[in-house]
Amino acid sequence: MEVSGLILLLPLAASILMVTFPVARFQFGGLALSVTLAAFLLTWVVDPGSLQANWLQSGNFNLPLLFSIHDLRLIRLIIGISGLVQFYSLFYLSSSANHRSYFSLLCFFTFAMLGLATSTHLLVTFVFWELVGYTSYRLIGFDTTTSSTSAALKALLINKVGDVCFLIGILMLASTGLLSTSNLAPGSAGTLPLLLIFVGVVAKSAQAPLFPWLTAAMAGPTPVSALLHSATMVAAGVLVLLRLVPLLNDTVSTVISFTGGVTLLVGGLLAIFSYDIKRILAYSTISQLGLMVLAIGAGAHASGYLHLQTHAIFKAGLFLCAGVFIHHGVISGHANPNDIRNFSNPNGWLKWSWVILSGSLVGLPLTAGFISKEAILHDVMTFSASLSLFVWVSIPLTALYVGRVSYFLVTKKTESYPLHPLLLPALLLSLVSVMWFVAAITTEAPTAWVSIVISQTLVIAGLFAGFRLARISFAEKSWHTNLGLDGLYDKKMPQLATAWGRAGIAVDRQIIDRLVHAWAYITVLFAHLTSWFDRAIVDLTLVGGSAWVVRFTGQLVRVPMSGKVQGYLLWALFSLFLFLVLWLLL
Amino acid sequence: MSPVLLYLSFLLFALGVLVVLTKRNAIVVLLGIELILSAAILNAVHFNQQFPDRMDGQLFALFIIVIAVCEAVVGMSIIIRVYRYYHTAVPDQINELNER
Repeated sequence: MEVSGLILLLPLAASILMVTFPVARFQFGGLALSVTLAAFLLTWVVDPGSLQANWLQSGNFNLPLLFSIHDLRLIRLIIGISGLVQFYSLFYLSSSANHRSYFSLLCFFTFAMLGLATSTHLLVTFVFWELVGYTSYRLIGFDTTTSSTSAALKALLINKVGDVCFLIGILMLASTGLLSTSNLAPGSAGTLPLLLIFVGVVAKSAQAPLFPWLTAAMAGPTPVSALLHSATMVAAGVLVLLRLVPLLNDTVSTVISFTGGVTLLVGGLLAIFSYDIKRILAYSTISQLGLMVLAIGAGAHASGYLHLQTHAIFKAGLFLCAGVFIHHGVISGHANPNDIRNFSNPNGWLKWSWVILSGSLVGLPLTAGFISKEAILHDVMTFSASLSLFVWVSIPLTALYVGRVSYFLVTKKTESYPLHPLLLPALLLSLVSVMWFVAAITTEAPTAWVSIVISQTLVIAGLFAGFRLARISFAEKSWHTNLGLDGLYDKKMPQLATAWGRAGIAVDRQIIDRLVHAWAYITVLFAHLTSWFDRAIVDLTLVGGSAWVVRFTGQLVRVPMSGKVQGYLLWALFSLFLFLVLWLLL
Repeated sequence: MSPVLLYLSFLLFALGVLVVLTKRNAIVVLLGIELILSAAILNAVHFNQQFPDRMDGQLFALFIIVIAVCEAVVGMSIIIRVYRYYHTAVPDQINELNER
């Protein structure tokens, strides 16, 4: 094992350590944070390389544990955001919460996500995929209230639909021997396995129509939402999709880009109508993931990947900011601390980091979002003009809901509370966002000035429209939450399942049972036949007959053997006489 | 050579066999055997008359008489043993040779 393997194993070891050994309360977070920091520092030390170990070997079948530690930037992102979220959680979690399982799960999530991001064998990827899903399930239901438990269950079940399809797709790919993603030949897989894998991606990355679990997942603690449900875990689907880019054919690409496009617009649209900050951010995440998927489907996978990374930074930051607002609201004693209308601004730094991060979300200059969004816009326009329509519509749409939310957050009077440690991660992330822009703009100056100018105009217009829109209050309608898909998943699906079960029972009773009865009848009939044959032919004729023959012969033979001495004598004399006659005759 | 003695001997043998085969008392059966023996003696004596210079038949007759006596004694004692053992001397009832 090389040193780079330690990056993977350190969080796992910490997680197991926390579950196994009980230590004092604050040390859980400290342990998690120090381990994550160590892993983060390791990424600057190790050389990029591959890890390989044999997991299973049976005959010709070989299941290798293949990890590629090449993309250190992604690894640093995952570990870095995990570390910031752990730091944030130290101050965010109430002291009564179960720190042990919380930080253990966070470390375990870091391990699983790193494994998912680095494994280059699809079966191994699937293992980590499931581990990530499980950790998400545990963390959504962390509060163990009824609503969060049902949200966790919902996330698990909807993801499971995708997982099953994903697994079937992998197994279909396995029959063509395409499991190792490091050397994929272009276009060598069929359409169906890729579509099945894409269903898995749709569920995991919250694409239409399987996105309602993500808004439900906001029942988890806010740092968890920042880590799992915006920055990293939901990116898992996009990561897997990126691995399979060489295999994509036209049909699959079209399906992918249209799914992404629809998700992009639906997410943006729904974000306009909500007052719950976490829900707005969830819709925004859905929308941005749709943008990435659209970019990959359209062939702009490099810029899609770039947006995955920048989105991780600014969305995690936005969630951490929202967490501060909510935390402040909880302390101030608001009944509904998630409602943006109730927000009050505790600190000027928070306002600025929110401005920078939301600027990154809409793609304003001086932020990382500008780089990736303009790259996607440019690439998609290059590859397919019709698909770029989705992106063009999404730009003012995003600006619209961002402007609306920002109006509530930024225009509030700033109370001058001291700088709280909770603010640090968000400030750091906005700093990273700006630095990213500076680093990217100095290496490669933008060239597509026309699209930049038009898109920036649209953004500004959208933001101003959003400010206006914020003053209009409207009642929430049923389709505002998840397009009413919740009714489909919560009511119709169980009804469908029940109906399916009833149909199964009916088939069971009407067809299977009758078949079984008919079969039983035939069997009994045959048994009667056999029994008759047994009694009449075998018993009576064969066995009885031979017994009768033997008995008859026995009785015949027994006659002279009467046991009477005189009888024997008579026979002796008779025989003597017989021999005498014979002797005389011959 | 008159065949009268031969007829008598045949008669005696036949009667003896009849007695042996039919009588229900073991002692009478013994008597039947004596009859058969006497028929044999008669034959021996009779056929010896064809060879006047020889005494074999006469002598044999004497031996047979002696043996018959012995046989009668042994037979009687056997019958007594049998009677004591089976509490009967009827041959029909002593059928241990039969399996049943």
